[in-house]
Amino acid sequence: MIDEEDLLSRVSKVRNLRPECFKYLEPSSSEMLTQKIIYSIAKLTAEKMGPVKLAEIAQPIFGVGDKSKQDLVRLTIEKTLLKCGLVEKLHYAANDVRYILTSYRFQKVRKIDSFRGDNAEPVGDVLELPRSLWPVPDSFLILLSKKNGYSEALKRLGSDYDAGKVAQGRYEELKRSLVDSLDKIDDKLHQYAGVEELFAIVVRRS
Amino acid sequence: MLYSLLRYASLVSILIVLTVAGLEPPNLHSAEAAQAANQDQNRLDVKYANNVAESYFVLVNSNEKYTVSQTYSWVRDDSSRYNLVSYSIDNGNPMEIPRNARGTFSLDVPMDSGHTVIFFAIIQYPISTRIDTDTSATNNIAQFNPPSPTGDNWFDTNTSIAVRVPYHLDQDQQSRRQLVAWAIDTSNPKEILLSNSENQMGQAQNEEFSTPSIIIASKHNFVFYTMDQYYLQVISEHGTVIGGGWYDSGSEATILAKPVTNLLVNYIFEEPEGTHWTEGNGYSTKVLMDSPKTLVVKFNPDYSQLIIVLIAGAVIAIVAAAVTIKRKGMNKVSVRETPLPILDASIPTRAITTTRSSAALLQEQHEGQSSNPDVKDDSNSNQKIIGDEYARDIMHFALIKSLESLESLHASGLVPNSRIAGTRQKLEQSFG
Repeated sequence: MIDEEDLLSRVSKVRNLRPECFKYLEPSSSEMLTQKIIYSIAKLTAEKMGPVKLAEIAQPIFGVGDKSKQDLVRLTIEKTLLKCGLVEKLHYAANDVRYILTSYRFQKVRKIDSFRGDNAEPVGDVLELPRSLWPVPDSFLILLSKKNGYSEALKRLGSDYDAGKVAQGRYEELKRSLVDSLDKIDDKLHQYAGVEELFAIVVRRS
Repeated sequence: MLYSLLRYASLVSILIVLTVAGLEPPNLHSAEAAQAANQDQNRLDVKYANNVAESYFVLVNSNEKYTVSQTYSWVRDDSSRYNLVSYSIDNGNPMEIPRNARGTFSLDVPMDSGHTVIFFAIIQYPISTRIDTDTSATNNIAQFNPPSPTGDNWFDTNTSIAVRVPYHLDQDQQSRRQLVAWAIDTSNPKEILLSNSENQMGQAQNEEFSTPSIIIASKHNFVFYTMDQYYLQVISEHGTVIGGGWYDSGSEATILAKPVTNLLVNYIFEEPEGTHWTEGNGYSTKVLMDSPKTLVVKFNPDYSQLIIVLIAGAVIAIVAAAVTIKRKGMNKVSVRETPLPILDASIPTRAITTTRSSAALLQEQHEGQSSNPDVKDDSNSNQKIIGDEYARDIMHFALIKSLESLESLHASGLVPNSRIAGTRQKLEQSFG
C-alpha cells in the first residue's frame, strides 16, 4: 500500500496543469464524467487511505460497478486523466490495478516565452479539491495536535516554575520529558515536509 | 514652376513687343519678387547608400525645418528586406538609428541652407523554426542566439546565429518529448545526442540543445524533430530495483528486482499481474512503454526463521531464569505496574518494590539508611505524591490543548465530520 508520507506529499504539492487539463476541475465541468471520476477517487482514497479499484470508482458514479461501467471509467481515465497527469495508475498484483490522484491542489498555467527560461506562467488562483477529501491519516492529525498540546504544557510548566508552584527537581524532570516528546514528534513530522506548514496556513486563514 | 516659366515667357514677349514698338519697358516689380522668392528656398537631397532606394530632393523655404520620414524596413525581394541602420547629414559621421522592424523613422532638418541626408540600410533575411509539424508553439520554445536586432525573426546578412531548444518539451512527471534530430530547410537531418550530464532519470532536464552557428545569407527554416517518452516508476518495499526512469515510446524497459538480504527474514517474490518475470540473478521483466507506468514489485516477508530463533531464545532464557531462582531462592520479587504520569501513558513504567528478607531490613534500619526513598522519609513521600498530581495536571492540560488544536483542524475543514469523533478518541487514548 501507499504509505502516509506518499499520501501527504500528494496533498502538499501543487500540480501545474495546462488549460485543456485544468478544465476537468473547473465548476463548468461538474457534470462531466471526468470530474465525477476525480471526486470519486478522492472520496474513496480519503476513506481507505490508499489507491482505489475501478469497481469502487464506478459504483458511486453509476450506482453499479459492473464490467461495462468499469470499462467506461477505465477508458476515460486512460484517455484523459492519465495523460494530463491528474491520476496515477498502480499495478499491485494479479487482477489488482488501482488508481490515485497525483495531487489535491492544482495551478492552471500557460506557456510563455521568457528570457529567464521559464516556460509556464500561472493563471488565476490555486484550485483545491475540498479539504474533507484530502487523504490525511489520523496519525498525522494526532501528531500535529499533540505537538501543540505539549508546547502549551511546556509554556505552562515554565510559568508555574517561575511562580514557585513546582519544585526545581520536578520541573527539570517534567521539562526534559516534554522536550523529549516534542523532539520525537518533530522527527516524525519532519518526514512530511511542507504538510505541517500547509496546515498551519490553512488553519490561520480559516 | 510651370506657372513661373509662363510668367517669364509672357514678360519677355511684352518686352520684345514694346522694344519693337519703341516703347518704354513696363514696371518689373512682380518678376523680381518671384526671383527673390526662389532665392529664399533651399534644396534638401535625400539619398540612400548603395542605392537601396530611389533618391529625391525637395525645396524648402529657408529658416524652416523639414521632417524627413523613412520607414524602418522596406521590401528588397520575395525573401529579404532592407532595414534602416544609420544616416549622415552633409557627408558627416553616420548617426546610428535605433533598430526597429516596423514603423517610420523621422528626422527634423533645419533648412537654413541646402543639405544632403544619406540613409544607410542593411539586408535582412527571415529565419523560422518548427518543432515536428507544429509551427505555432515553436516561437515560445526556440530561442535565437543572439536574438534578432529588430526584435522579430529577421537577421542581418553576414551575421551568425544559433537556435536553442530545450532537450525536453512539454515535460511533466510522467511524459515528455525529447529532441532527437534537427535540420535546416528539412534537408539532411542531423541526430541530436544527449548532453553528457543527462541520464535516464531525467536529470539536467533544463539544459538546452544549441545548433551550430550559421552565417545568414538567405532565408532559412530550422526544423526540430522529437520523440515521445514515458516515465516508468518502479516501487518495491522490500527490494532493490535496477531500471525505471524515462523510456522512448514503444521501447521495452528492462527491470531487475532483488529482495533485500536479511539473515532472519526471507522475502518471497509476488509476480504482478500482466507481467512475466524470469528468475535468475533476481527477478527481471520487460515492460512495453506505450504510456506512463508505475510498477509495484512486492516481496512478501516470511518470518518463520525469525520465529524459530525467537522461540529458541525464549526457551533458553526461561530455563536460565528457572535455574537462577532455584539457586538463590531467598529474595521474592513482586512487580506492580503504575502508569507513567507524564508523556505517553500508554507506555507503562514499572515501580519495583522489593520485599527484603527480615535480616536485611533489620540491617538497614540499624544503619538508618534505605535504598527506597518512599520508605525512608514520609516528607519525601508526600512531596512525590504532590509532584505526581502536578505531573498529571500538566498532562491533562496538554491533552486539553491537543484537543483544542484538533478542533481547529476540524473547523478548517481538514478533518471531515465523519472522522472527527474517531480521531478525537484516538487522541485521548494516546494520552492514556
